[in-house]
Amino acid sequence: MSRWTQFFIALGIGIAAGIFYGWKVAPVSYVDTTPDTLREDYRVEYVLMVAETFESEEDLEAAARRLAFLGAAPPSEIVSQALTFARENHYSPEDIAALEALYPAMERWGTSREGDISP
Amino acid sequence: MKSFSWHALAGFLLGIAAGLVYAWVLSPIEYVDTPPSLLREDFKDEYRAAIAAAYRSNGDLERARTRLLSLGDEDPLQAIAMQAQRTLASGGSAQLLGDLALLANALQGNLPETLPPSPTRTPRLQTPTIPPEGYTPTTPTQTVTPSRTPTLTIPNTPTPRPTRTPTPTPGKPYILLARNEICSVKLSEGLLMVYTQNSDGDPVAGAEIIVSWEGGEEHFYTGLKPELGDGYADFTMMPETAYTVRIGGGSETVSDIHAPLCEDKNGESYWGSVRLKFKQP
Repeated sequence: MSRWTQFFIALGIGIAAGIFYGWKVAPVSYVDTTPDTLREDYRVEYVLMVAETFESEEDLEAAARRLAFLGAAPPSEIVSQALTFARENHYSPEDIAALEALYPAMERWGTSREGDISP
Repeated sequence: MKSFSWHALAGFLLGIAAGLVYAWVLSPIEYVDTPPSLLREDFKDEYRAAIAAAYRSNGDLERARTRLLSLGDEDPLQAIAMQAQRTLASGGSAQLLGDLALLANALQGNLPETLPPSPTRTPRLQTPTIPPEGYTPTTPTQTVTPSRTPTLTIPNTPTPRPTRTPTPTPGKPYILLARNEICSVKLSEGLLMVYTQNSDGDPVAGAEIIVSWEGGEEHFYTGLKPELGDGYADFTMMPETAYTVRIGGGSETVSDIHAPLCEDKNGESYWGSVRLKFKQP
């Protein structure tokens, strides 16, 4: 086996070992993540908390402000996605009802905002 | 043999270096599907605030407890108290402080009369069973491997929603039970200590204390220093300033409160403290 053959075989093994170490053994440590990385069920849980609070507060602005925590998408879209997930994963009827109540409210809020912005 | 070793070793070391650069810099693991425990501290505060607001609304302590677990705090109660202190320091909303105090109190087992817990709702998110592989809640800097297959534990039997009214109703107006001026070097100077009790004599956490003085007003809540009592709250008075104290939701107003001037054993002056005890009749 030539020297260069030995070198490239060892190089290949080294790269594989390095990637394995960097991805599996000691991957880049992430702390301080942002809400957009939250797993779907946690996102839905958050939306559900907003829905539960909205049931008693009935404060559109506060609900929309809380939903903005999850990202820049329109609040009604965030609730719609949560509702879909909740239905697909057989959440309790009470939880689905809470989300269903929040959805039109957020649509209303979005419409009123568009009205405010348009000339 | 010697030649083989050097070439192979050089190739292997170069390969390791290249592999690490690729894995750590060029293409690090992309994090998706993270649990709330990895959120940045200010986002955790927002998540915790949502938990407290939802608890105020639905009175479901078990659900709130499960949600708090997902934040991975070693001591959820302490985390709430710390957040309340931060909120106070930054002039945050009174509503949030009230929510945090209410939840903190409930977690200590002192369920408010005005917002009884619902025993019927079941927490859906089984947080302790679903952290990503390799994640340890007590070590926040621990590395994690993201899980792309979320698992969700669904209760077998749907449970009915609580039928109780979700908004707290105020109790009877508080009356002043005792007012004492205290000279003690063991206390912070100018401390205004407020204690609240319900009609049974039990401490009331989450009671809003309103302190006003010429040109200012401050709201704070009992129960945020659980180590000093659930019905306890305090405030630092400025020397030679007259304060008025009342309790939100209705109480006797106590006026003309000053930090008393005291003397220690060496004859040196310091500002003493005032203790107010309120009770619902």
